[in-house]
Amino acid sequence: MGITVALLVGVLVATGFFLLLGRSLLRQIIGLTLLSHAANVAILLAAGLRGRAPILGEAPGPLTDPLPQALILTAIVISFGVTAFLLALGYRMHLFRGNDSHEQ
Amino acid sequence: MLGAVLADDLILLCAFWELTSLASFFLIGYRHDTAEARAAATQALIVTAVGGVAMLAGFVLLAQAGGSWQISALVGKAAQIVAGGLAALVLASRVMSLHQVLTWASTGLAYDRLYEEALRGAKRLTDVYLTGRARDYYAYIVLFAVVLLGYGIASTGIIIPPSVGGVEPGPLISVAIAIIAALAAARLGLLVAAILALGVTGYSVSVVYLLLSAPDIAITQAVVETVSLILFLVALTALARAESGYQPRPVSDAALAVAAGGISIILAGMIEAVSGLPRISEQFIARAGEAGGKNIVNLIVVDFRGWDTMGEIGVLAIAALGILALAPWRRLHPPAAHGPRRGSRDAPRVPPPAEAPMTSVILRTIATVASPIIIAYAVLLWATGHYGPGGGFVAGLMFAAAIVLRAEAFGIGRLNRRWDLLIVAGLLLAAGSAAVPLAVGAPLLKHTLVEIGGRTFASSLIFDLGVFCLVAGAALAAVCSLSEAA
Repeated sequence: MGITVALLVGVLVATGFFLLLGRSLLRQIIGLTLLSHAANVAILLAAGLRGRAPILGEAPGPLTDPLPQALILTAIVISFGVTAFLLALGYRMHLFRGNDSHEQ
Repeated sequence: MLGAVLADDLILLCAFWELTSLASFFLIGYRHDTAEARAAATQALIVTAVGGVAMLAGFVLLAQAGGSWQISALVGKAAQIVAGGLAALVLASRVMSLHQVLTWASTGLAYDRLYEEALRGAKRLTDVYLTGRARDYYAYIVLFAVVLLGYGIASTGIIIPPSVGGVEPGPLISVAIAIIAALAAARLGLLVAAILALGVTGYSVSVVYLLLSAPDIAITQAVVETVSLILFLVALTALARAESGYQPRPVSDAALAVAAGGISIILAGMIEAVSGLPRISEQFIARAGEAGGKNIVNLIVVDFRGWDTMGEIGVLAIAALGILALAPWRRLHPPAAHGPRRGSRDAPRVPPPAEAPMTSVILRTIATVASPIIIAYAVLLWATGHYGPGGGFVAGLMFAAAIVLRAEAFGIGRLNRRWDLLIVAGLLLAAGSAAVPLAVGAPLLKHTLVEIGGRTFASSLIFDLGVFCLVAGAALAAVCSLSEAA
């Protein structure tokens, strides 16, 4: 199973960087969002892919590591906040420059 | 300043030092409406920051020589350090006299020569390296990371392949959809299609989380995806005139991106290998009863690692308040004939356009019925986060989603509330509940179990309510500000 999740990380990194290297600001923000997905999925790999959800008293068996999940949970919300901030910044820049491609 | 004088730790001294340079930046730039004051403040910040970095480097040398970061400990070893410093000084002066780079006739002349040389060098560097285009800098960073990691992997020869066995159809399908959608987001020419592809990626990543035993982050990802999809579409409306269409991209971009992806696959295999090591989480699992809950992820967020969460909601609050600070678009919107007028505060406020609610009866009916249910479910998610998937983060986002749904149906003007107050209230609630234990002599963020009417409640629920309010306020502030721009 790890190989498919690792492949997902690789594709997310590649597409994220590809968009980040482009001209359009909105596409760069899309790229950053893809990169944060990649980071989150990679952290989940550190939790291991075996074991059940880390909630006590449901079914027997080993629990998967809850710590990476707690890290990802807050990372998701923070990257949402940063994305929103970048979008606002992009719009502000567009007001001044007249286009969203931030070339000099 | 007091901190800089009293600090006994070199790193702490450095931190306080930087704080004073920040304070002087604001002080010099007090009259921020004049260009001179802004330029002077920037110059002061650059000079003090460069000086600060040099000082930090000096402190590192000092700590290396003295073997301690404590100033009080270093004072005792003064003789040894002074000897080391003198040796370095002698060495440096020898090097300088050997090369005869500078004419030491007068300090002023030497300074001028140095300055000229630095300028010339910087100019040469600028022409080759500093193109002034952000994407070139991203390319440098990616290239640097790829070369460094690639060299590291190649020279050590350590490659831990990801696990191959145990592939199940469910996760496999959702991973495949996520991969296809991510490729589409990168390649689709139409911007709105790329944004929708991004949404599909996010939702299928959420399904991957769910199928890999991570229900908490699965629901959070799903709700975040919904709200950020709205944000992207609103931003697209605002930026629609600016989008110049899809442009062909050089092959080097694609090659660099593919190289970075390839390295990431190898790294992902190594990350997976970490999961076999002893985990710190065993003690969290063992002590879940003390915290009065069953959902370990939520217990980590609000209780065991509450300090981290405190910092993270702080970041979120700063981002949201930053958006609100950027938001008075209309005041800044330059009249087309006059060109941009930066920071003109006296421009007349254009009255907001008349509200045009969506005419769809279906949407209005659904919004009327669904939004109270969603809000009730959000409250439930907050209240039961200790026992099952949920908690303040996802609950706040879900609350925001319900409000946005109503606004979409009945006119966006309904979003126009003081969300900054909700953010501040949430921050105060979280910080206040963190500080209460201090009153009884317990450490910050020490939660207790309270029995009310025969049922046990964890005091961390109040902290989580603060998270709820802050996250909801932040999400709504973002949607509200950007939809005002659209």
